[in-house]
Amino acid sequence: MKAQPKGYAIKLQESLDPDWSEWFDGFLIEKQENFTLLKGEVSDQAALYGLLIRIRDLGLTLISVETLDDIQNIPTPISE
Amino acid sequence: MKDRRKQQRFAVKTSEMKVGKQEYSSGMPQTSIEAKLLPPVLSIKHLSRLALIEKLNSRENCKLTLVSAPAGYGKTTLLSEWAAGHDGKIAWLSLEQEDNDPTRFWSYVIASFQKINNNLVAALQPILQSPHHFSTEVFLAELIDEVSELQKPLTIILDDYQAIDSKAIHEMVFKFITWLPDRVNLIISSRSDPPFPLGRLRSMGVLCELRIDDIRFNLEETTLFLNQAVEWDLSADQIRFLYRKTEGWIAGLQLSAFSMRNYGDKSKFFASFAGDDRFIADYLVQEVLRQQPEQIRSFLLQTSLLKVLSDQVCQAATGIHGCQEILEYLEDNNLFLISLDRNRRWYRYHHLFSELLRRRLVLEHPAISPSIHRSASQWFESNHLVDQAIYHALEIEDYERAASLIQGIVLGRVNRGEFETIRYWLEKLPGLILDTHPWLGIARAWELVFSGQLDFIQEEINQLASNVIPDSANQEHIRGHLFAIKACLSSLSGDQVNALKHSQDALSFLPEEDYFARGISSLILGLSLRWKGDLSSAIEAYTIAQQVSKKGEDSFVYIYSSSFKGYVMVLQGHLKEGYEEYRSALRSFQRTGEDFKRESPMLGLIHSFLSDVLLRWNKVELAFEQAQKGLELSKRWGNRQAINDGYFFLIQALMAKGDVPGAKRAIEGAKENAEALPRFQQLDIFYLEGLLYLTIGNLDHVAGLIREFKLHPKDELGYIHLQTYQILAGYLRKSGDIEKSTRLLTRLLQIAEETGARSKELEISIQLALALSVKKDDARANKAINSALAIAEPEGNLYPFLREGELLIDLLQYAASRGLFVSFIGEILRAYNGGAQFGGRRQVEGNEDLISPLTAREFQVLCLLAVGLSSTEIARELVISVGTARTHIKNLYRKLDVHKRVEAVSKAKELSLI
Repeated sequence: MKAQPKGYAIKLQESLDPDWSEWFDGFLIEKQENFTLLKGEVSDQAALYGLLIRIRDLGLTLISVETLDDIQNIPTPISE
Repeated sequence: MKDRRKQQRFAVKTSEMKVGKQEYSSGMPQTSIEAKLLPPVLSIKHLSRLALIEKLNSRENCKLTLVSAPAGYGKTTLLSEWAAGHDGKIAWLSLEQEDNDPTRFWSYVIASFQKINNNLVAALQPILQSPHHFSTEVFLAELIDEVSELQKPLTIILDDYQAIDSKAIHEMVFKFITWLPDRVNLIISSRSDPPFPLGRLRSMGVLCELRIDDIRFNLEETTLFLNQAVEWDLSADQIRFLYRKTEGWIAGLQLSAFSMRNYGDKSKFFASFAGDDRFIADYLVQEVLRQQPEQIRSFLLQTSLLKVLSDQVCQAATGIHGCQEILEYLEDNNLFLISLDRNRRWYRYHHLFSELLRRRLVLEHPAISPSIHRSASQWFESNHLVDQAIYHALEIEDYERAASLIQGIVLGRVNRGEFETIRYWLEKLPGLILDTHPWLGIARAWELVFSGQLDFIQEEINQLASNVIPDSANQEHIRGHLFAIKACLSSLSGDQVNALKHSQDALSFLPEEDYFARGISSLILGLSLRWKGDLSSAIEAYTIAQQVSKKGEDSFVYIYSSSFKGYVMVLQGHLKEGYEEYRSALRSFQRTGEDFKRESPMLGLIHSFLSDVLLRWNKVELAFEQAQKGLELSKRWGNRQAINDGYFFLIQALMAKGDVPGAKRAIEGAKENAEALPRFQQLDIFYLEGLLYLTIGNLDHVAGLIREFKLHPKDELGYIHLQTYQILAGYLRKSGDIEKSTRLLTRLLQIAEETGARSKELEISIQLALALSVKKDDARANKAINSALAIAEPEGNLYPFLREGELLIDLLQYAASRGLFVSFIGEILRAYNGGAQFGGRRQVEGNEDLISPLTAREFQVLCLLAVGLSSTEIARELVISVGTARTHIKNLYRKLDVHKRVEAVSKAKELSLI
């Protein structure tokens, strides 16, 4: 069986404060110019879907979901 | 009469209570379940959405209308407004996370239908009430059929469908959509598209959609709304700003309007809002909170942990006084508080609002949540809203408390078949806690029984048995359940000896008020007692099962125990009692009103058994109708045992009609169905196949069957062999081995006599009489036929005589000539003459020596003349007037071309008529 990815970066259109972290299973909140990046690890796919449902329930706009490997080259915000 | 009224009340109660009971004990405030079935109360301030209403009105061919948009876009409000204009044609159901149990989900759907028409889908209650055999396929097919009978159009609205994540429910709902009849359609509102193959519906042209761009406010609506909601004039620019900022998101506009109120200088609100690029829901909720007095602010934060709110629970959970006033203030100010009833008692927050509040609570007072959950759990517990109490206990991982709460109600959930809910709870609890809370394990074991996972149960039971704490308060009750589960297992695998033992043990431990376990144990007890041949005790057990299941509203046990009880009565020779038993069981499920002719498929069993009595009374066509109906219903239900019984009686009815090909076909169907059933049920089919081939004289085939089932005349015999070995005896007689046949029949007869199985005694006596008459042992043959007549006559059980064909006529006429059972024999002979009984028929019509054929009545009169009755006596015997009797005699003389009684009798004998 292929190992399932654990690390994810979820890109949202809305601007979220870092204090949302706890609400999103401890994912790091990175505020960018026109979007917010949630970065962190999930225990399994079910946890990831749980997170996506939470995003849906808040009415947030989902732009992309990528594994962390794919986005290593995205610069981290200076504010952090 | 009194009895009947009682039973009808039971029927009504069944449908009402299903909802009623659920309302109370499913842990939701009673009124909030009621509220699930009603569109929410429209706020006076809501903006009417005429264009969208028009769009909904003008839908055509839409089986499914999907209203799909994120939270806060006014989906529910829109549908409420539309529903208000279609009173009586809408079934509404608001969904929540707890509704992911298929049983619960569909009982709510049914309850929502019943809001429109109390009779609609009432026939489905017994299926839902049968955790024992809940089959989704059957249920859906029934539901669709039932809905198809509706004459009026109907729209079913499922609001907040995103709460459903059960795959089983999704699949059923999609099937439901594709099967819907033309007049009925479904509207689903959801924050995300349901996982149906929507593309298929689209390409079929049956999907209508209202999506975010359709339902967000446009600039015009934004203007209208703000002008209504805000007391001062906003400039066109300000309106355009809010429109752009919220993108027509209605909840955002509402929050803005509310927030603005507390700004003396409105431009400050706009400046601050414009300068903030945060997620606007979060921003606006913070704004609103900031402006509230401290008391309301902490009320909002703390109560956000509650799924339902009332004055009392809010006070208990937060310690804040005057909660009712706060609730009404929030409601009046449109602060996302939704009223769940019409008398301002129960509320809930709009989901999005409550989530944002909860987030703020965690940020600002991270330590306070556990004490709120704990107090709420306690309040709900003492107010008997146990599901809510469990929810709060699980939220703070107070497993001990949660387990104790679940223990207290889990049996009721087993009885209602809410196995998904049980599974959900058990998954949340740590495994070890099951050791100290045996009821949880019992619930799990029942779940395994009803889902047919018999292999796992033994292990579960052993584990449970080792956990029963001696001297604990519930020790006996738990033991009772363990035995009841074991009894079910034994019975299902055909081990009647242990089924008997375990069910007796179960009943000795179970308390009086455990209707569920007592009902099922009594039913199994009845079955195993009948198997043993203890018929009167079996009736007692079935009677208890009936009474208990009626109290516990367990339709499955009620229908089974009534059918089996009736059958044992028939076996005992009490045809009329059995008939009444079946009729009254059917009556108790009867629905009032004429629109609904359909019946619950579970009632098939009763119809099948009913056909048995009718056939014995030689009402062949009626018996055939009932047998057909019974089998058809049982097939719809899909219960193999019931289908087996259905075939059993249908085959007999087909044989009585003389339809040999039909009977052969039915036997094939029955064999296919019985493949997976225990041997004793396959023997039922063997019996009928043997009977059929004996009657049509194909002895080779019968010999093959006897070899296949390994029957031998010297086998040890008990009550259960009575039926099967009659075939062997019949075969022996017809193949010329009269001695063996007679000996076997004598043994069988003795068993039938000892067990009081009078109907069996009757059949065996007839066979014995035939065997003896071949031996020319007339004295014993006559004695046998007389004892058969003595059993049959009082209850009119004449079919067993007809089945044997004309071989019996001499024996019967001899009995009549000695003045015995004259009227009854007349009836049998008339039936030979008039009916198309399988096997033998006396063709009086075909006698070419007669000028014109005798009518059945004339033939009867002739028989009575032959035994020396006067016209007055004949009249009395046939319950006709003396004048009519004389007319028959006169016609008889004319047809026989004679003038006197003596001449008539000798002419009739000459023509072999008698």
